[in-house]
Amino acid sequence: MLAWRGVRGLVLLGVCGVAACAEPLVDGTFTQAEWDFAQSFRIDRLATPECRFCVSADAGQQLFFDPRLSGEIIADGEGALGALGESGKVACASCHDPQRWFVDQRSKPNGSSLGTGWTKRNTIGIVNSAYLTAFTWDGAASRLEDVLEIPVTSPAALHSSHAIIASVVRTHYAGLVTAFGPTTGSDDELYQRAARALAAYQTQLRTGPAPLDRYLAGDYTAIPDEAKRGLQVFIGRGLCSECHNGPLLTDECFYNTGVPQRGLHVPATDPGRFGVSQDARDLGAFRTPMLRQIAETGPYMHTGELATLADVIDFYRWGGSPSGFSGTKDQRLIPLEIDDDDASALDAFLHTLTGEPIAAALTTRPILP
Amino acid sequence: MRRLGILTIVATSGVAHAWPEPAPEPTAVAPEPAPEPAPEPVDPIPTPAELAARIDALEQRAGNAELVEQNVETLAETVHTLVPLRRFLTIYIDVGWFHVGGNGAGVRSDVGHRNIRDFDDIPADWVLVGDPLSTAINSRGEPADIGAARAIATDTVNSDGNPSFIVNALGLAIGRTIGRGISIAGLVEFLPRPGADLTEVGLAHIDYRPSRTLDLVLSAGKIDSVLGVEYRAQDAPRRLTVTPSLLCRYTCGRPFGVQGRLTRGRLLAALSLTNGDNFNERFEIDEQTGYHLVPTAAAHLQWILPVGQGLEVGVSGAAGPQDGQSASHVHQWHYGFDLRLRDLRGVDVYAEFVQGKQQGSSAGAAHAADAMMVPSPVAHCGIAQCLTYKAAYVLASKRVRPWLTPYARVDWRGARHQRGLDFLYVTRALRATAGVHLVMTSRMIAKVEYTANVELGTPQFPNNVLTTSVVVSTD
Repeated sequence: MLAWRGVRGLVLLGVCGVAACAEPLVDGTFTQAEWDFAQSFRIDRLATPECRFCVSADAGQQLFFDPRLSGEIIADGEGALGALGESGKVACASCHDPQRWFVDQRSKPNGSSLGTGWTKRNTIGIVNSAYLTAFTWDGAASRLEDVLEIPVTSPAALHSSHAIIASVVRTHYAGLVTAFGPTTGSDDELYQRAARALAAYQTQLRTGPAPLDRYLAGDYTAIPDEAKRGLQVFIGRGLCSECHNGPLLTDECFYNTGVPQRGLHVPATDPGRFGVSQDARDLGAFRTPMLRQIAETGPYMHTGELATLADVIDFYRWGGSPSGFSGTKDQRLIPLEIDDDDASALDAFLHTLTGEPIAAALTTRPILP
Repeated sequence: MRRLGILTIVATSGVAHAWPEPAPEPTAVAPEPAPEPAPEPVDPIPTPAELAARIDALEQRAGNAELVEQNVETLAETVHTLVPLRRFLTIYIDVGWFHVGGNGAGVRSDVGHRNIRDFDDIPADWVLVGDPLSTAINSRGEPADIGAARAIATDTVNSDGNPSFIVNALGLAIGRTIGRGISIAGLVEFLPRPGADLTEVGLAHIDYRPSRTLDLVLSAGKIDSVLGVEYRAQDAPRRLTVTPSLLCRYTCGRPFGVQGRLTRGRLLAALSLTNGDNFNERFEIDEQTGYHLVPTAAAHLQWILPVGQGLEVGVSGAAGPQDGQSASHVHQWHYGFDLRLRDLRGVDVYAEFVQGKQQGSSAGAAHAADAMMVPSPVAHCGIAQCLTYKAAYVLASKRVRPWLTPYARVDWRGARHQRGLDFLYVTRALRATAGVHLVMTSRMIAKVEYTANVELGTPQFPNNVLTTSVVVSTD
């Protein structure tokens, strides 16, 4: 009898002990460790970027919409912005469409983008790029004012030159000529002023808090329950946050995720980051894109092959493509331990990353000088 | 040394009743039919001839009684011979109830690489802190849930942190002396589990005592480990505690092989050669049939000092090719010290320390013969996992009443366990366990145990364990 009484007493004591250790879940969903890590996604944790050339931001917006910066068109066909050989038809805004979160949605289903010709990669978004330290898919530029060099020298983007840019600035942008002090008026100097002006404009293209940010700040009604589960998968078994982390949901590093070189205008091979670093390990590696407003910025991947987020999730769910890509796929790209519900939840989560649209004043084509 | 495995359970127990009653063997001499009754006396004065007839009849009846007595003796001998047949099978059932904090798992992913640095190439979800077996809920060491654990393939309990009743095991222990120093022993456990019920053959070996004067037992088959002392009483009917220590995974395995155990005075020695290491199969699945050219050798030496009923001090070690790969030169080693104090004023103490290493092997090394492995271009510890570990425990108990034995255990384990980019465990676990062992009847014991888990150097998460066990055995 005493033994039985002892058992009963200890069981009661133990139940109380375990109950006291029940795990407190944030919003009934997240462990404290998960929640603490998710706080690192809040965009309000970002410091406002320095706007070194803001005096020329208005001119930069005009330049962004100005097709006179471009050279001869080398590709025609459906969607072409002009006839073969025509100049002055393609602006930055042609591919970075301000009405489409500054990406090129014409490329569906073509994959790559159409500037003066077919580019070899899908247009990457530029919203919030002021926070970045590496630009374009392969990180060819490390400062925002250096980015212009890439489309200018690309035959398929602007197909332009310093001389053409300088000529446009010299002829139409008198204010820009004097914006940064005395000038000798050389082509390179005027080109640099144009590049700085464009950088100033891009610095203003920043989004505010998205539903995710409001949720992480404590508004538990800001996102649906499915998205909360998606966030849990995102930072857990989905492995997404291995690369997509921080307020912009990018680590700005370069990975070969096994995206096949496939598409009507996509080259059979692409060196990716290797083209910049010359490091063999970077062959076929591309920069982790930001995920802010990702639901609005398809098509996805550097080839623009995947039209929807569901496609992207499915791509990673099965560990990327087994073949058809340049270089060696990252070893972590193996089939994920997620199911259909997880995939659906991830999709829902990714739809909570879209903040308020960029102010209309910044997305509207200004009167060109 | 007297074997303390399941054979002992059988040999020292009372009569079991599960075995069917054997049919008696035929007797050597058949009883004669009863004599006819003597005729009614016509004359009250018997004649000498009648008296002689009566005497003959009485002598004949006395002879018959002697035959009957001989038959009874023969029958008794037969019964005596058959009693062991009724005793060589012991059945036990271990049922319990448990509740584990959190999600029932002893590990958590290092979300966002916030605690374990220098391993950013392994996805954070696969970098695990804690100990996957720290939430064990029964004598088999099954965790309440494996959570995010990746080294343990099967979530046999899968409680997800909910309290639950469980049938820990239905066990059949077999042990019988065949004669001429030969005996056999076996242990089979049936495990009702969610999804699919499991059957596990824990022991299956032949024992041979070559000499009546030398206390030497040679065994072959699926045998007990020889490392340390905890393995000796690891099954539910014999275990003092409900759950094993954190180091039992390294010393409580039951590999295929041969072993010898010798007792000479106060010295006990055991040596085994086995197909693989002595790890518990739950922690590391054994390749039970040969996978290497070279076996694993393990040994244990123990001295009994005259303290209490005996202070046993031992040292053990093991070395051999690492499991999980085929190259003989990729090795693992283990050593440990153990101590057991027996009944010093009712106090028993167990203590063990172990350290070991599995060397591991990365992809690209010279393992082309490793047909079972797919060569991979990178991955440190990719072909064979890397493991380094240290662990220790102290378990003390005091019998305060014949039926009541409270106990306390403190155990600690530090380990790093990596398999390529598949997983990395970084364990610095400390546990404190308190419980009572209650002898309810001669064939029924109950145990209640509470374990507080502490993760050293990383954020805590709820994974304390309350677990109970009631074991009823036919012996």
